Amino acid sequence: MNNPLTDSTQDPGASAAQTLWNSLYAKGEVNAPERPQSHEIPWYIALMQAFAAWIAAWFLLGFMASLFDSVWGRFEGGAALFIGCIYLGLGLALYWGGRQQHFLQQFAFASCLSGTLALAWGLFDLLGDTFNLAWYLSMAALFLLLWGMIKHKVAQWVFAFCLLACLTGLLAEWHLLNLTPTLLVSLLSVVLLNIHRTGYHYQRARMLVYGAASLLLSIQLIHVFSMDRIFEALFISGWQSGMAVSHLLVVFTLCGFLLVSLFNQWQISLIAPSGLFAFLGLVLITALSLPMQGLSTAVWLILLGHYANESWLKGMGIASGLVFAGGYYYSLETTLMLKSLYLMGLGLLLLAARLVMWRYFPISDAQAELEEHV
Amino acid sequence: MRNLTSQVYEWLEQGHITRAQANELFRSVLVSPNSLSWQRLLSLLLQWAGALSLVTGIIFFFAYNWQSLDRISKFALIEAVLLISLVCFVWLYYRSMLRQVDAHHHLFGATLANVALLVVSMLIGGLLALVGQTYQTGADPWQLFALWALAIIPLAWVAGFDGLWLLLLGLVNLSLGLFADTASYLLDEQIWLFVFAAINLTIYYVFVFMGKSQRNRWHAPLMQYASSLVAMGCFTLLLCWMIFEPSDSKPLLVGVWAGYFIHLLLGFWWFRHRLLQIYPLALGGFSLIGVGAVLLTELLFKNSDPIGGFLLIGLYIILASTGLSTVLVRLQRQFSAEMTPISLVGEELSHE
Repeated sequence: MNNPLTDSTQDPGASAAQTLWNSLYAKGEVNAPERPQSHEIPWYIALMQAFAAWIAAWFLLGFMASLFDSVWGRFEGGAALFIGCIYLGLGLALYWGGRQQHFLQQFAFASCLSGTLALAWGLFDLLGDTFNLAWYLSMAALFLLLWGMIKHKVAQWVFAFCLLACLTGLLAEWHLLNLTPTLLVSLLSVVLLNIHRTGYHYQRARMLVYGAASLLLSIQLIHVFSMDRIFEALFISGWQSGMAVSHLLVVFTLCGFLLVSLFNQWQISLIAPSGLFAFLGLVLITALSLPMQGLSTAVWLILLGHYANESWLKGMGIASGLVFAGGYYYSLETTLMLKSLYLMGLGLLLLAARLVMWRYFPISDAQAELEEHV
Repeated sequence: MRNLTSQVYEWLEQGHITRAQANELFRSVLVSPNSLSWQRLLSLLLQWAGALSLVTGIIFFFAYNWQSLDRISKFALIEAVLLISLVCFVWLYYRSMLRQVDAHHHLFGATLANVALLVVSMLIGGLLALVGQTYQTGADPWQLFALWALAIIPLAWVAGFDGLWLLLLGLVNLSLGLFADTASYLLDEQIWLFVFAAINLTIYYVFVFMGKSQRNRWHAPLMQYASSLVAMGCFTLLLCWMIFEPSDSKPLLVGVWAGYFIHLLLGFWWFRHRLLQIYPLALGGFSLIGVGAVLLTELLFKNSDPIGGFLLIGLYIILASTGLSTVLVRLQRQFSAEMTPISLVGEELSHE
């Protein structure tokens, strides 16, 4: 993860990119000896810019709404749909016409956001003031189109998130809301594990992964902190307990798959002490996820992030792990005394496991040096 | 570190490499970490998750206020754990010193010894809460958090660890918030917000000036990041509030506006010409855009309802944010060029 306070002056990624470029040039795979200048902007600037575009989108929408209101004296669903189409058309035209220019890209993003807001409003009004199947289907189709067409990274993330949120709404309509975490985990795992095959769609696929991870964590945080009434307000069906087991099984299977592929890669037997140790840890985390909901998802994000060198994903996993464990305090399923005993027991067990690792699988300086050179 | 695959994708987008080359490069760049890296990750997860679970379990235990356990036993229990954690810290600290492990090689100072110190810091809070619970001192909650913050300052300094500094920052803000809640009659709400901004700014600048070197106990990037965000957030919110509801107190009004602009100007000069940091410049710039947008809204919509006002403000936000981003990206490239390897080596040597 970039350190925003120092990355302006030191970028270790730049030297790795330079080395890679030099090797490509040496092999004759690229023509220029100099590495092309990167147009990437730091994440915090991208985030602040996206927030500014979001605020600007509301003002743009306000302008059109007040214009229609002053001309026709009323503003209804049909007008909102019309405004939405105009803004979306404008946004897409700007994205295609001048996406290399910062101002046009920012304007296009704000325009697309404004357009989707207006369309969502118009459809909601026309479909009987309710979030129903037709609304979710229409919005999902729209977000799919935007995510698939736009090349702007932040826009891809936003529209991927919205697309998956609409799919969650569809699942809720079909009374399958509890399958959402399982499907999101499966989706992000499959995409990330195959991301090297995506070519031109690499960034789009990566933003889908982050959209899925963000939605997954949002949904689980809402559930963990017993705010399920939000689901009831948004979706037709609420959260039902009992389906969590299927989610745990999927996470367990995915972790197991990762474990097996890593041990195969290192040519270590799964019945070796390290394999058994890892397997036991996996079983423990899965079991713990029953009382501490969301824990297995957090651990899976950390492992997957580490496996795919996605430090943001790893960071999201660590932060959500802390929040899920904190949410355990508010769990009403057991007393505070029992929770305290579980936590103390778990803490001692994990520290004991750390000591076992220290004793039986030490990281020697020589090994570290050798592996780092390799 | 920026993802190397994103760089490959950018080359593909720019037309320097073909799709087949890109896929091949993705495969070669996306090699999963080696066994050592996994081992390190698991060790870190085990030690941090273990220590945090243990300490939260202990705090939950005292929060439960088990009546069957007498007062002395409760104190003995928490003090024993505190002492054991402290001994663990001393042992781990000297062990790493003997093995010449540099704490600054760990991300944000998260060493094994600092795990024990974080446990000690959290248990101090538990102990203070137990004192309040047992003796019914009648103290306000803000006093507990303020005392806790004071007590862990030396520990945070010894650790030089971002996590502990962040805990301290959280406690300072929490105690201040609780104090403002109980003593709201003392000051106007806008002044309270100003106090929040001033305290967080002070903390931020202390860390900026004291932690210039990366090999320094005050070097806490996450702390700087969080405190500056809170400070500028409070400052921006206060200015926006004052635009819609100007304070009756003229000195406060003038003081806050003057303070905001002087701070922005001095900050711009300092971070642009001396420290060469982009993040504070971005924070200040976007804060100014926010204040500008609110000012425009107040001016345009105060006495009338112009239709074009919405469009004007929307376009202003888009234009200003784009202009600022372009300038910041250009500055970033300039800073990278100015910070040559020679100056980096010189800086390292000057700290030896």
